[in-house]
Amino acid sequence: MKRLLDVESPAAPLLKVEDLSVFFRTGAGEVQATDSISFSLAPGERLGIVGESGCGKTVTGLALLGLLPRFLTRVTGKAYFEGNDLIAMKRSQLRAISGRRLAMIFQEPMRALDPVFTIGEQISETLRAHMSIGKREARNKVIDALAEVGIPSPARRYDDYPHTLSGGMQQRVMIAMALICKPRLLIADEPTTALDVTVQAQIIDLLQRLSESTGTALIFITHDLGVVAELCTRVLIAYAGQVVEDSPIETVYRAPRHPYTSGLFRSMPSLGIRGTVLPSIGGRVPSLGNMPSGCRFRERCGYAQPVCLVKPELQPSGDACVRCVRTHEITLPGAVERAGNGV
Amino acid sequence: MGMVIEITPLQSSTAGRLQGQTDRSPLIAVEDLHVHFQLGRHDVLRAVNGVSFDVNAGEVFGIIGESGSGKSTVARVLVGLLNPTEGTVLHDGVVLAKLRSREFRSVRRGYQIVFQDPEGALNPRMTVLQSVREPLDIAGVGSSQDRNQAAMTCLEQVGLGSDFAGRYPHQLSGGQKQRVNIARVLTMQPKLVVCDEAVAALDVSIQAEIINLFSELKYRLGLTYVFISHDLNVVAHISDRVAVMYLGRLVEVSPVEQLLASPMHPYTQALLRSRPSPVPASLREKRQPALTGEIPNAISYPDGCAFQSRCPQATALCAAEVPVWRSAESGHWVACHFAGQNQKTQSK
Repeated sequence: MKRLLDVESPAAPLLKVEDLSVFFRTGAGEVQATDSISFSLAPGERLGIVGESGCGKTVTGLALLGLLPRFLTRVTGKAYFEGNDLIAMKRSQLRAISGRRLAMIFQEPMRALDPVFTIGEQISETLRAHMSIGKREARNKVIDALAEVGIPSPARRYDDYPHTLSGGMQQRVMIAMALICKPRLLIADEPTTALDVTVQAQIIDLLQRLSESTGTALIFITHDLGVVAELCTRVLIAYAGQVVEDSPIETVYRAPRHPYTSGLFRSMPSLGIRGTVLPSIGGRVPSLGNMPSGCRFRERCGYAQPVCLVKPELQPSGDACVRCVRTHEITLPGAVERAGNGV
Repeated sequence: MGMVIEITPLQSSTAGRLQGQTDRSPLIAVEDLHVHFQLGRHDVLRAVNGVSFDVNAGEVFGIIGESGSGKSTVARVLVGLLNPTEGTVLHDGVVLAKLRSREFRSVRRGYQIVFQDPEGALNPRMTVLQSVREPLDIAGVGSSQDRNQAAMTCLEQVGLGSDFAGRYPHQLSGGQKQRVNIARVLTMQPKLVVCDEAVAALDVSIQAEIINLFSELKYRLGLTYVFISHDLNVVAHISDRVAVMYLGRLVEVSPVEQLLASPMHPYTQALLRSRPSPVPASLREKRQPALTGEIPNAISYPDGCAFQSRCPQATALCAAEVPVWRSAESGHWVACHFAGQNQKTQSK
């Protein structure tokens, strides 16, 4: 793994994903879960991947880390992380960098922590797997890391078992574990969904502060457009296994370019519009085995025309990329004016 | 222009029932409800620790709170799935726990609940029609044909046509499953429907459809809801009045507009602040820092105010005394020693 630090120039992307597709083997043959996902991520950037259940956002995160079961899935495409293709890597190579150069945190911290080891042991295991340091030194580093994520009296907490901590504290432990080796990229899959709203706000503040102070890039997978607005600098909107919009955060909230993005914003209940009928998108996401040809959003889209029967590509549009052939002909409402915070 | 709020401490315990603005007797009257669970020999979990409120017929009463605040326990008491440890709950003037089993079953039919997980609430081996008519079968209403007819009517009311009747749950999307659960509840022609996180498991576009369905059914069938959620946006959208629950107690009850415009309890204020807003940080005012600390354990229940460990304004008084309910404006109640003293109230 000697070439890992060969980053050619500071402007080079940390992660460059090209045409990443995931296929599931099922009893009825193979189905395609994601279709040619492409994006790149600069060092220190915080990218949100947003979509409804089944849109392929979690599968994409798992594919990048090689966590999908190989006998049930097939992954095609490339994902260059610091110049090396994660998809083509052998298990052993991947194991050497995951936890050290890139790390992941999951939605349910209680399921990700081992109930029979103390939290300190679990964090120092990661540290000692990747670095040759002694037990005592590891312990000190872990205590520092626990303090860093805001766990009170970390030296005492080191010897606690996961079940003695609340959900918010467990998620802090997961974050400490993920960041202990100072990775360049952290993939967080719905890390605040299981938490209460006041605790969620704490965790978002924490992730933002840590990412700013260490320069760790973040891929934040979520269904919550509010959380993304708080934390991220750029957003990918995924629908039915495809990226439909890739925009800087201000652009997407002020003037979304894809009708699905706009529909997501409009269907969010928001303070101050009580008693009105929420505009819903209508219809349902097509199933994996039965994707329509042409635009996959066509049947739910209020702007669909015969031209939408042809498969749209992800095309640049201003400072964004959009998968909609009609994007230049339509003006879509965003979230900013609706929330009443006029710009 | 600031508005002066007068704080009136409560005198009698009957005034402690936090009434809405109608003169009719309430559909649900909860007074000093306690629900405790014995854990092992010594530990008692105080899930609900002295809650009083009224729900008037025809209104939507929202309850918001974090996990562990006791809101689902209140839901279960309201539909007779749990009995109060202390305190009384009147369902249209009747104490459910005092009824004999037959009467109990017939009265309880009027109080129904929709749960969070639409999948878990349906039997995977029953068709949609079988699931929806099951409550009617148990109640023994009419002939088999009548029951089918009634079930089909309910399915139509929730927007599922006759082609759904023969399907199994695995053939439905999450939103459709929740519609089936709502149809089941409607078969009993309930007076009150308790929605316990009924839209929390759904995607945002589907969630909007189900919220719209709840509103529509309310107007069409004259339903009363107790709408429980952790999501302030959802509760505020649908409710007339909102109760904020924290660690087994209510801390604030108010008409929704007043609660949003001038929250009085520090916890409510923190909830409103923590709510992620769908506007990027660069396009709005900077958010104030989040609360520190976490919700305490309901086993080692604190003395005094339950919120003191996280409250930025807590003093020695808060550790010593449980704050009493006070009324600030009409219908706006708060349980905080310092409410109204420490912040300006915005005028409309």
